[in-house]
Amino acid sequence: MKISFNWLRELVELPPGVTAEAVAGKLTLAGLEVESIDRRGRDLTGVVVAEVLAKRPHPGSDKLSIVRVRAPGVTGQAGSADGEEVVCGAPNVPAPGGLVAWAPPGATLPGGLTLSRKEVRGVSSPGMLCSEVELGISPEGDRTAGDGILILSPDGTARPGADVAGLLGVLDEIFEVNVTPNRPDALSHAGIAREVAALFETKWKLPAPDDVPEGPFPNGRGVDVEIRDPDGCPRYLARLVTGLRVGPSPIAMRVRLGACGVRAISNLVDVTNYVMLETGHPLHAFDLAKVSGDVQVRRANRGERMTTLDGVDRALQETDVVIADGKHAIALAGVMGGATSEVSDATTTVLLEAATFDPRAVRRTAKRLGLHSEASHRFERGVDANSLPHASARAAAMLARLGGGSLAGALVDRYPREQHPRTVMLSMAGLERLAGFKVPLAEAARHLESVEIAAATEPGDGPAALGADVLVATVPTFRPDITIEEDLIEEVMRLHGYDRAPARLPARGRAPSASPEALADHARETLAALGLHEAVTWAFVPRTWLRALGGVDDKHPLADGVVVKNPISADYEVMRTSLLPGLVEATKRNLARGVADVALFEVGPIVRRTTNADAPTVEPTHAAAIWVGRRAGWLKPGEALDFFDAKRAAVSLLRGLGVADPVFRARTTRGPLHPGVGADVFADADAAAPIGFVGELDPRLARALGLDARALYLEIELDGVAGAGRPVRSAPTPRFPSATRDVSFWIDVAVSADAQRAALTGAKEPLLRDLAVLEDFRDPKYAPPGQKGMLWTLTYRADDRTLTDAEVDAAHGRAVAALEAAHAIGIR
Amino acid sequence: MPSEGAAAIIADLDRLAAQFAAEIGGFATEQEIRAAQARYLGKKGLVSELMKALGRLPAEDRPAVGEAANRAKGGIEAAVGARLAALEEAALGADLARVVDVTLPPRGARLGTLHPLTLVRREIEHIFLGLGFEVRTGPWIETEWHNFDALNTPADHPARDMQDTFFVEGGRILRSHTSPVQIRTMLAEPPPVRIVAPGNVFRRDDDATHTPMFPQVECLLVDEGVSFADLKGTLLHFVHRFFGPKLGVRLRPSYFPFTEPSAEVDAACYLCEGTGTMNGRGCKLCKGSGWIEIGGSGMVHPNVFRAVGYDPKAVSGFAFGMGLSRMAMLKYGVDDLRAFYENDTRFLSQFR
Repeated sequence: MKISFNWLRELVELPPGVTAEAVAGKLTLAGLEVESIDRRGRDLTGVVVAEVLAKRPHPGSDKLSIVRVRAPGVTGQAGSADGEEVVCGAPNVPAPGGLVAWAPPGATLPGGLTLSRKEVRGVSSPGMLCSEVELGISPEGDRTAGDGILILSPDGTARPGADVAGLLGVLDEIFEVNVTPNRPDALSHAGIAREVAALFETKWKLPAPDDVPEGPFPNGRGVDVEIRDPDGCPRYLARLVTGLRVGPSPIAMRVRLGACGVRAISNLVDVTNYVMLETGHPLHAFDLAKVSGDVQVRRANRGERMTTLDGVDRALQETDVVIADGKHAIALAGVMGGATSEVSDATTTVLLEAATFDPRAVRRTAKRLGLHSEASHRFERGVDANSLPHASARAAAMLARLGGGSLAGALVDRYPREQHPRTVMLSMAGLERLAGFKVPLAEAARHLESVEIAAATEPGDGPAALGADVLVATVPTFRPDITIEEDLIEEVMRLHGYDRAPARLPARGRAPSASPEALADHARETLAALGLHEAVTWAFVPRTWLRALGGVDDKHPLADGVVVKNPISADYEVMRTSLLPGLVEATKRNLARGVADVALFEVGPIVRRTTNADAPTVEPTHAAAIWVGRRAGWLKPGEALDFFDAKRAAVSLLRGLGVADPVFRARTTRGPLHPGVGADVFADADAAAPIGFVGELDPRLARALGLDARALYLEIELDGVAGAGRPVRSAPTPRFPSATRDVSFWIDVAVSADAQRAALTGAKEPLLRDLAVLEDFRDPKYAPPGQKGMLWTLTYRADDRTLTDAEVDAAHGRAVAALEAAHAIGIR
Repeated sequence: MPSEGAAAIIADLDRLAAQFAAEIGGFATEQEIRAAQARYLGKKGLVSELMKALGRLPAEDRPAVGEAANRAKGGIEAAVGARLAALEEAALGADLARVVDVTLPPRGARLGTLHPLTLVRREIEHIFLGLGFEVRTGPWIETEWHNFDALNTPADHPARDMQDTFFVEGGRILRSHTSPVQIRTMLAEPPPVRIVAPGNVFRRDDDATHTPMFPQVECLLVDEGVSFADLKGTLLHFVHRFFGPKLGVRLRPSYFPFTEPSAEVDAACYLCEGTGTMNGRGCKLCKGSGWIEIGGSGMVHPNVFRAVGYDPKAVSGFAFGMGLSRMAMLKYGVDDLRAFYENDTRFLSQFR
């Protein structure tokens, strides 16, 4: 909310010398944060009021004229009685004696223009005469600014030679105040003035309504108001102002509205806005000529429609509160007026509404229709019913004054739900318990009184049963945020100053339990140690990415993500079912930016549906990694990464998490991996369900996701290995030497290394302690069709002696025999 | 005097020793030396061949010949030993003569990195773990009750506008803050409670300074007699550990539905040390104010305690929350929030 410091100074008696910064600083520390101070009018300098002495046509142009002006104090001839001649293109140059705004050479205008003497069609012109737009008072294209130059009314202050910026109040400091939603009382200059007065221990007061003519309503009885929905409308004031002439508001008022971010429209509309900014009460002006009969406040009827001020025809709901005349709804209460009853240039009589509406109803209606306005913003937070009469009187009188009209008939005031000040107790013990420090009772009372909360040491009636440390606070209705003792504690603390609270460390609690993040953090450390960089990708992904994961099958578990109903865009539509899409996107971005070797990982939750109605979704933590490019080379590029690099990461990750011997099986299910270069990962040989998968991305999926590179990918569900970590039981270090024997053979390509290993160890040969593949040889020039050449090395050892060659040979023979028994092999 | 035959053998032996001594300098490997040694001293070697004649010599000649044989053997073996030692010395010298350019790059894969948001989260967790807080987490998909109602933010309350919320199927929402973890923890455990709750939260904002997903970390301490002074002391400790030991904390009155009193938390700007000026100009980080906003805090609202079945007369507590991206931006001088989510390897690899 924008607050004008000039305006504020009219309402508060600030000690001399108090700067805008000082006020902003105190407000900020009292909870009304001043986010910025906009110094306005600083770029408008040197423009002065000048008196028109004469006007003659420009010899070289029909549209231009030459205006002789005089402004005492300006150097050069202009100060003299003769004045100086300025070339002007405006059609509205006033007759001699009229006052205009003259920017002589050296003056500066908003936008950075510095005036100088210039030739205009052969005539030398010292600067220019300015329009409101040029002065930065009215926005470009504002119709109320009129055509041509600004003409100043010759009142007491607008004397030739006076500074225009100072005269019009353009020089101002505008606070941008962040008012929290609990403080509707602070949504006005009056509310801020009340706070400032409390903080500077001074007085403030609202301007009294102007003294304007009053009379009976000319054509009989006026308008009555019936509140049919008192919950929706606790109070409604209607006032008629008649004999009005629509026109632009005075320039000082328009300057002030503009400084507060409100566009000037016409005197009728500007008054309602001005009084709202002053008092915090949104007001509405109906053209009485367009209101038929009396006014009702009611809920909308089923199927009712109305066209709002913005010209949109809207379907109403039965929860909407409307203002209606004898025929139909004429305004959406607290949200927006109706087009049929809008004031226009022809309006002469206004029905001025000042009311309060149910905040929830206003909020629902405004939200549903997407109509957030200055008015709805205030009504949603709560407008004080008890200060409505002042706002109504102030606005009605101002309307009459500016529109040249008069108040007509009596004020109609319907107040079916009277609001009363609230009584809340505050004990000093309670304050100390929550604040951690003492505030003397008298001081607490003084703080409360400073913001007009009456604080007594005894209840108003009944026995004085309260202790000596209890205050009875009477909270005015403009402070709906204060309902319980804690609210009063905050009020006293903030006025006392949060900075006066002591600081101490709380006593130590119990010993902390293990972190639920421990497993995920362990995974992060392992993957980083393997050379991958941690990425963070969005939790929601485009639906098309998930479709690509599931092939074209929307019901594939990876494609069937939880849907966000109000996404910002299609990019954030579905909760991720896998970390794959995000990592692919990150990889693509790196490749597009010229990073050739990409190795990224992410650890975080995915979201999956369940069939359990009580917990329809689960969020298991996954760890995933993606690689594109080459292994680290030395002084030259390394070799292309392959499946086994990704497998190394999988094994390292799982070993780190306590899965000693993960099992890799060729995938049989559809999914994101290449059909021949991918494995499901199992925690052990007996596990029924995989805990993850690793391999090359299916090139068809990569193409669908726009990834133009061969990528390796690993994803593990960490919850699947939680608790897998078992304490290590160490074996004694071998004391006797081992011996190795190799075996080399041809075997069917379909027999996996794991199957060969199982066969070689099938005889449970006790001396065989280890075995490893040295070669998997598939060159068709040498290998028989359908066969591959394998070379294994087997390690033999006994715990109690050094084995003899004969013992080793015999054991090796048994192992090889077991292999031969299981599979058809040809020894190479 | 030895016989003529014995003298000839002795001469041959001496000749062989001399011949060996002459030859050995030409052998450059241990293998060659050992082969030559075997040629002279082996069972069928030159010395053995000569010694076959020993049996035919008179007994009185044998000692002299034996002595010559031992002399020859000893000489050959000494020559072998000396040559081997010399070779070893030469090899060592050659080995020691090797020089590498130690400024060439290392071999093998470099270590990877943790994400700056992870680093900052862990640093903050560790500070609070040191104060006896426990880490607690909660789900992304929440009920409105956990996210709002239990936190004293009923439907139709304007405070809900402070957090524009994503809805998902089934009438649930993406949590808009980490505060529902407070609710879940207090529902599950009796007081005292002392938790630090990190995690991603979601709001419908997407511009230069807001991302629709962002990480928060939140602290909650509930016990008997916890006051605003404890909150202030805890925050001061946090700021000292995270930003610097001498920096101050400023609490500004504010509003959050779930705390009363509520406060915005400012830390003294670590760049200008709270002075607001750097080298005679306004500090860019704190925009000359001397303070940087780091989070929101307050004393737990009694309605929150009532929602979880705690007695607000028996216990009190404070809560404190902050955005991790902001902490990371401050800590690492990152000026573009988007950098955290672009996952550009060149950005990520800085965070060792």
